[in-house]
Amino acid sequence: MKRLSRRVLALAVIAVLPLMFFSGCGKRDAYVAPTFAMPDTFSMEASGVVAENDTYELSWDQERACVLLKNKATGYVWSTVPYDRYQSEDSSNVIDSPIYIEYLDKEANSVRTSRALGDSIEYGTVNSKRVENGVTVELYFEDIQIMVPVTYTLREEGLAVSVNTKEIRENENHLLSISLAPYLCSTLNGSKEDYLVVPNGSGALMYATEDLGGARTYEGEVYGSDSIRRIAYEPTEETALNMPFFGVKSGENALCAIIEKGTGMAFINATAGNDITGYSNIYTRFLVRNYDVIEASVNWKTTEMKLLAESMSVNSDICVLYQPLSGASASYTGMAQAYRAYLQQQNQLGEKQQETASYGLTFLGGAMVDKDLFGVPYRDLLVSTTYEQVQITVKELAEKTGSYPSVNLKGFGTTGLDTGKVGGGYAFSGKYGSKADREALLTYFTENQANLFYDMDLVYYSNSGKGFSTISDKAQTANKEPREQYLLSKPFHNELAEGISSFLLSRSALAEAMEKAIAFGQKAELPGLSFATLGSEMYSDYVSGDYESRGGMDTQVSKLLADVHTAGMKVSVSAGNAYAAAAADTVFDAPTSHGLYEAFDAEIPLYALVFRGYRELVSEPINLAVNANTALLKAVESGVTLGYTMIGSYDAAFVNTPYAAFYGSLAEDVIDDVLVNAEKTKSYYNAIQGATITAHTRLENGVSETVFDNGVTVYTNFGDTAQDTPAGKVEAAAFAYMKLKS
Amino acid sequence: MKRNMIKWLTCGLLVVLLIAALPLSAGARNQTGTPNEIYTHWDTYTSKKTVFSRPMYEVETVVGNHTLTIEPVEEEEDEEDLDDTEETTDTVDKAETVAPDVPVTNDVTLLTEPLENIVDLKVYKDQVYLLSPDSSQITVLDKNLKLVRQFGLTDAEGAEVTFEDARGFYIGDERIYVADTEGGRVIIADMNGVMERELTLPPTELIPDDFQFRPMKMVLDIDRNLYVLSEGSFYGAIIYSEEYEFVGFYGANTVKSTVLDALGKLWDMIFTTNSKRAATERALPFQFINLCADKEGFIYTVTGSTSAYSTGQGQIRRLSPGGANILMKQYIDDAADSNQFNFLEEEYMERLEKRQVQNLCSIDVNDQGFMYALDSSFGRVYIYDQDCNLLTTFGGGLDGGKQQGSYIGASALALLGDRLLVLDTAKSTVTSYKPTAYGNQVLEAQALTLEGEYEQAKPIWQSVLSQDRNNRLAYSGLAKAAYIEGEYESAMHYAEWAMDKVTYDQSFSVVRQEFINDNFLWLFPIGLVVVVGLVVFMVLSRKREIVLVRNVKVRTMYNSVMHPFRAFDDVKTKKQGSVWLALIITVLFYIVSVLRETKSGFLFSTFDVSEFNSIFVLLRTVGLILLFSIANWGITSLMEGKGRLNEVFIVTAYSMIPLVLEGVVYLIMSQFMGLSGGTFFTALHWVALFFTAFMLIVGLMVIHDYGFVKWLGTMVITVVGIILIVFLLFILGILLSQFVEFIVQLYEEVAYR
Repeated sequence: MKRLSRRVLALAVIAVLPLMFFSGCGKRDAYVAPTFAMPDTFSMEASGVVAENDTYELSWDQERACVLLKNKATGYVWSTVPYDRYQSEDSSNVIDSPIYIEYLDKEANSVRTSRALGDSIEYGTVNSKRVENGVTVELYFEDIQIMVPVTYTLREEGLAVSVNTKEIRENENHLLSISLAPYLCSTLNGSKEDYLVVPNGSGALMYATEDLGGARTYEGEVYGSDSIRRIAYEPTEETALNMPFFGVKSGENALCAIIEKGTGMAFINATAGNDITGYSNIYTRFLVRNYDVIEASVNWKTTEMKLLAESMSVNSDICVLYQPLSGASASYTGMAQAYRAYLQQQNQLGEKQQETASYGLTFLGGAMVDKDLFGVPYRDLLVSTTYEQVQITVKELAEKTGSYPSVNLKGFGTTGLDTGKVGGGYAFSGKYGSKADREALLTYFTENQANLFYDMDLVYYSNSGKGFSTISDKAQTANKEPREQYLLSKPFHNELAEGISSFLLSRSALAEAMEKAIAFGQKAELPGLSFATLGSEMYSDYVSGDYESRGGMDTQVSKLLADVHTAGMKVSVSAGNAYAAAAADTVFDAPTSHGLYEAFDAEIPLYALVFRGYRELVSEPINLAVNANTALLKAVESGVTLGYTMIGSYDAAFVNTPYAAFYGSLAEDVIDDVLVNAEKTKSYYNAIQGATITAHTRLENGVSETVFDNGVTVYTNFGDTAQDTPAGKVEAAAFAYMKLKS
Repeated sequence: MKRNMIKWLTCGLLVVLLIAALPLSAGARNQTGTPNEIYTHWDTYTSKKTVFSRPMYEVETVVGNHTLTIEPVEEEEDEEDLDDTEETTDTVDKAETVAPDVPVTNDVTLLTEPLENIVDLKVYKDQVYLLSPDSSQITVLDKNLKLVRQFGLTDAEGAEVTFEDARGFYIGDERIYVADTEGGRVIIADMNGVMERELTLPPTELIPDDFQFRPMKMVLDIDRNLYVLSEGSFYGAIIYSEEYEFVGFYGANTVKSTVLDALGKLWDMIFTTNSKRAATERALPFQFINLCADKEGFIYTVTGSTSAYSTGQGQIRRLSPGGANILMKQYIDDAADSNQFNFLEEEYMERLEKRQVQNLCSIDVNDQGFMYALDSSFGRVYIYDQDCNLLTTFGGGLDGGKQQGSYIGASALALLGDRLLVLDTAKSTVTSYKPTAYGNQVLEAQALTLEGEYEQAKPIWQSVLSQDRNNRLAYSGLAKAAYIEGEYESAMHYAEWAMDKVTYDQSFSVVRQEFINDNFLWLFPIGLVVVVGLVVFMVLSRKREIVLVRNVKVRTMYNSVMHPFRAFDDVKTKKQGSVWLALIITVLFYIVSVLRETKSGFLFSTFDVSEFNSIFVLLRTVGLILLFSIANWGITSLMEGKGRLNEVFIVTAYSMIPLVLEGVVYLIMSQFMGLSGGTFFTALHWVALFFTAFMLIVGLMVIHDYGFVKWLGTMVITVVGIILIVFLLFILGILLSQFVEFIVQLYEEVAYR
């Protein structure tokens, strides 16, 4: 017997050792860009018009290797070299380059920037040829041995600038990022009338004005940062760019840029009031590949820090569509409308729909807290709201306000707000109430045709179960490791790496997770499902090349949410990215303010300008805002219905959880404010039901004017003194609206 | 049977470990509308925890080169104003309308010099002064943070006076004091910027020869004494009288001395040569780096980080005229001076392999005595009351602050009325915060509470609580108000939430007294009957020799407390000891030890579920008894000890009976006694400990047949043996965990490649 055991042990060791040896050899083949080779000769398309349609004319300038898009009606020209400079024939490497690239200089072991004008065009290392409705330009950066092909195509809507990533050539120096047409979206510095539009949070403007402070700059990653990347420290909490478009207004004209392809790799860069160039500009930088810093051995006793490039992401091309706007449309309102039209054209945003509620409530089910059994600590769910408490609260509010709220049940899974199994274990915990209580709640909402959503986390999980394993179903980083998600400390925002962690679900498992969510929802007869994390997290999963650089997440989520609709349930998301918001019925936590970046000059309701009237928008919780009254005014200004977060009962143990909301959400504390605000805003929200915003203006003295397509105009006074408006005198920190007679 | 037991134990351990490892969500969201967490501290018995709180302040505006303009002024008025300037000597009150150095354009008036490297910020008579040493300019803003003027200093002849290396300044008593650090002087100028005089190092024997005068920060007290803080001075601030005569040094921090330090000094005195002593580093007090004065004339100082690894303690001090710290910290059940209190976070962060240490750099105090301090490392503002309760902390950034209310190089703060201004030198901006409605309520209510106006504060606290259920000060305030109003049970309820043991104790004593008064008629007879009954029973049982416990082993155990010599001799010679009874006592000892931690009365409890684990209690009770028994048996076996392992275990366990009984008494009585009972419990505990020790000594001497000296020798070796066993177990644990880690890594390699 003993002998047998030894033999088995020996066999096991023999089996494991080769596995260990070959464990590093099974890596999936990384993409290798085609080798760079300098052509013997370069040919250039002759200058002239290369494409034309009813509205625009696209010209190519051989000498300056730039394109010019002319609006036939207005005669206004947008160009990769700002048109006034183009005419003056001044030349600047920064302003006149059609692209900038960042690359990893292997020799210098550093990241460097190269600009097309100085490093390619001026050397004549450019090939260009006419393609259907446009021109393709191959920019050879000879010194660093990288070639990037850029295609300019004229479309009905405007100019599409794209890069086919598979056509990029490189040798030892690795291309990291491409900044596309940095000065196409630009305007000369001058007055506040000209500005850059940044889709950060609710939306922001950066005025094209100069001052002693020099340039104001902003860079943000479209759809927020990729959660698969390790971020050990964040100085502050960043507000995401939740829509993939931006723009510039210059005099009577504007240019709206929509990132069509490569959103997962896109960053939006904006510089306002640059006194060196004299311009304010905004553009997209695409991170085609990332790099890591590693400590490499030089010899047996010394090491050095080396930059190591990842493989290039080629699962998606890069394409930005530039749509010129003029006249009344040359504004951020026009840009929002252009983006909405684009979403409709892509069948992402359907017909207009009426919102069903004039306010929204998010109830928090509970959280995991420390408990003890005879002094032995364990973690257990502490319920903050029961089904009965939800029903009692909603009933009281409905009776007093005369309308039913849209309700989101968040953290009602087996581990509350904390991550546990995927989808909260697709199970109800008896701690929230009996089955009868739950059914009574569902019946109440169904009978009153009110929206009720049950939130499920399909993205983060920490426990195996329900067919998902914490071993095999985790999303992986570019280094083929699972990315553990840690909490950030309150004081310093650094990762509490010694703490407990959760994981991102592999992108390939999302479909199965959604299937199970739908089956669960149908079985429980839930009227709606909410996907707060799925709708706002865009992440990569390097298990598959298709999911690198967050590739395809937008279409994947849109499809998954559409499946819920197909199954007969409504869908809600929280602070949803554009693709998720477009696919949902209700958006909770719809942003009504930007991310407070000092580079921003003004706040605009860009998110509402796009989605209001098409999707039900519920604001961020008024009761948790730094200034509740300002938050209410912002919601009114945007036409976003008022949102609140509530709990049924408070316990001091919640202070040990990482959730801030518990301190100010107790229903008995919040309910009076809900009633007062509902009374204040009821008639207004009734008046703008289903309406879209057609214009928004910030007037002087802190008053803003929002015009809806049904003739309602609301004046919101953010100032300290009463102001006269066409809707009458508006008291400080108040609003007034009027409706034009049809 | 044994196998099954091991299986169950392993399963149990695994379950416990799994439960303990249940994770939290990574997607924790912070508060709406702020890029940094806003929280406060809740004191615990051993430390403090960070607890989210509702924002008390919100960013009103950020001013800098982008925003600093002057409103358009009519040209004619300009001329008049300019005329006025020439005639005016005292321009402070008129400064809002005077802008002699500012060019006026058609629509806005811009700064003459861009704001760069502003190193200090002061508020004087509702105007904000910014010091820019690079350009030797002082910029003045009005209370709305609009630009008023920008000016430099000149001497009496009108020649420019520069201060390129100034680190701070002060405005007071209609004068500007600029600390020209590198120049080694304090420039004193009138409000027009005309230099009146300069202060250099006073010629006095009180100042050491090697003292370098490098003024950094200054403040005037209500008697117009000028306190100058010189860089590198460990002697405290230099005080100048109103006539600028040197008065002395003031308020130096002290070096904390431990017993080890004292012993070290003694050692040095005896054994170290002079040359060696000279080469030894001397512990010097940490220099405070900024100071301010309150309306009563008390000076407040802040001390920065004390090393690359520590924020230190007692960073904020309120100094008496004699220079002693009079700031008191109110802990949960005690009050002490703030010297040992860490005003900052217990946590720290490592970044780029370097520890980032918080560093208080600036302080201001409002009229109610609330202290506002700025951490330059992370850009966080801390607001404390006079009891050193943290009201809130906000801000942040750590050199990445791009959003409003976050910083790259936060360097100074000042109060402008009820607003708070924070200077960011790196960004050349001033961020203005205004209190939120909630913030105003907290400040007002806490000020009233500290003044003893509890009833007046009550409705405000109620409102505060409805907005922030995490506000402990509100619970405390309401507890005090309820106590004053005679609602003692309500006061106890709030006090328990507030961890306010003093108010709880006061209320509890009244409630207890009322209970006794109300129920005296039946409590007294019952008590009397019980006591008389017990006495009668004891007397009778002794007289009639009633044997209460017939089981001889149980009786031996009972007797071991009353007659340890006889009882332990019976254990040894008559084998009347019982391993089972010893086991029961051991388990009881563990149970009582856990219960006294978890279930004692509120006033005596220090239980925190997030910090307590009864597994450790198991180790230090059952584990220690077993370990001691084994070690002692092992050692005594080699040293002619006659006791067997079971006897050693029995003696050790029986010796715990006093501690078990004391625990039971404590558990029961702590439910009824007030804070004053603490002394009784301490005394009781010591008595029990001594009794236990006595029993153990007697028991071991008897069963091993040792004299006292031999017993003492074996005890010393036993202790060494225990340490050795623990060390070996520790090593074994490390090896085991490394082996498990290796297996896990192996598995992951196979799974992910």
